[in-house]
Amino acid sequence: MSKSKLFQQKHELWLAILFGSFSILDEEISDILYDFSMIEYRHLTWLGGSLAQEGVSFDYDKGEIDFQAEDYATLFGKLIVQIEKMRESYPDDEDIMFARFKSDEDYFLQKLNFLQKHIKNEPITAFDKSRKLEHYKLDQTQTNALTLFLFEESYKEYELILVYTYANFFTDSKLLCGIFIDLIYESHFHLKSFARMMAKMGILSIPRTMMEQVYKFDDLEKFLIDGIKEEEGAKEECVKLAQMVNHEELSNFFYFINYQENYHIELMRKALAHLKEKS
Amino acid sequence: MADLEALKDEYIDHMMHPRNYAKIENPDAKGIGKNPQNNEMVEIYLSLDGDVIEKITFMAIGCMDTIVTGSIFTDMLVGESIQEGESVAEEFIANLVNVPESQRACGEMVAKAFLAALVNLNHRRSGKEEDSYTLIISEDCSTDEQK
Repeated sequence: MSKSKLFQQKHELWLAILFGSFSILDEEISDILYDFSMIEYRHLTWLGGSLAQEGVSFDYDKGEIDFQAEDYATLFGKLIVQIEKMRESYPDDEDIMFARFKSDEDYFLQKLNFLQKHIKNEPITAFDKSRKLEHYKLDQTQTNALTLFLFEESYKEYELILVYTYANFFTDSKLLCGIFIDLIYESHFHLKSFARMMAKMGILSIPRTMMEQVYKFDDLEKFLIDGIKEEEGAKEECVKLAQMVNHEELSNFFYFINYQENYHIELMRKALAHLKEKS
Repeated sequence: MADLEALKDEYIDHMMHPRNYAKIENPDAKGIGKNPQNNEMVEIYLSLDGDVIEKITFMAIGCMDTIVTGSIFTDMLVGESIQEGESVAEEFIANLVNVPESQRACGEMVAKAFLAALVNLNHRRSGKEEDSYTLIISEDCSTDEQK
C-alpha cells in the first residue's frame, strides 16, 4: 500500500475511534477510546510529517467510516476489525515509526477485546435522532437552533484541526507552529464538547470530507484573515445560541466557548503579524 | 441558516448522512457553482450511461443548507436523463424566489453546478479538453463565466 493511501486509512481509523468514543455515553469507557483516538491522531501527524518531508503528496479524502453500532460490544468489534486491517497495511520494514504504530495498536486490540468480553453491554443511542437533552427543557425552536449549531460547528472544528495540522506539516516557523498547535488542541476540545452533545441528542455523525481547496492553499495570510472573520462569526453564533436556549447551564457553556474564540482570534492576529514581519 | 420551524426528521437525516457526497474519479462531466461573495462553492460530478445519469455526486465548501440541498438534489437525479435533469435544475432555480435569500444562494449553487456540468459535458462531447466548467451564482443568472 502506498504511504498516501496509508495516510487515508489512518485518518479513517482516527475518526472511527474518535466518533466511536463520542457515541458511548459511559464516560469512563468513552475516555479510554478518546485517549486511543488521540494517539491515532498523533500517528496521523507523524505520518503526514514524514510524507511532507519525503515530498509525497497526500490528502484528507476518506471513504465510508463504519463506526455506528447498536451497542458497545458491536462497536468494539467494528473497531477491532479496523485496527487489525490497519496493522496489516504497514510496511514490513524496521521503521521505528511503524513499529510504534504497531505496538500502540497491539495494546488497543488487547484492551478492546477485554472490554468486549468483560463490560456490561449497553445500547448506543447516539444515532436515534431523539433530539432530546436529558435534564434540559428546550422547546422546538431552541432544539432546532441547537441542532443546526452543532452540525455547523462540529464540522468547522474538524476542519480547523485538519487545516492547521496540514499547515504545520509545511511550516518552519517555531512561532507559527506553536500557534497552530494551540489552535488544534482548542478545536479538539470544542469538537469533543459538541460531538458529545450531539450523541446525547441522537444526531452524532462524522463530518463530511473536506475539499482540497480548503487546506491546500498558497496564501496563509488570506487564510488567517478569512479565519478571523469566521471566528468572529462563530462567536456571534455562540452568543445568539446562548441567548436563545435561555438555560443557565447551557447558556454558560456557550458563553464560555464564545470567550475562548476571543483568544483564538488573538492567536491568529499574532500569526498574521508574524507573517507580515517576515515579508 | 435553515428555517428553524421547519427542521424535519428528513432534513436531519440528510445532515447526518448526506447522499452522494463524494468525488468521482474520471467523471464524464464536472461542474462548479460558485458564490464569489464568500468563496463558497459546489462541485458536481456526473457519470453517464449514454444520456442517462448513472451516478451523480457532489462536494461543497458551504453551510449545512448547501449540503442538504446537494444531497436531496443529487438523489432526485440518479437514473434520470440529462434533459430531465436540466429541466429539474431550471425549475429549481425558478422556484428559489420563494425561499429566504441565504438559502436561495445555497440552492442556486447546487443547481448551477449541475447546469455547469452539462455545459462541460457538451464541451467535452464537441472535443474540447476541459476539466470543469464554472457558473457564478446570481439572481438574474447574467454573470455566468467560464473558469
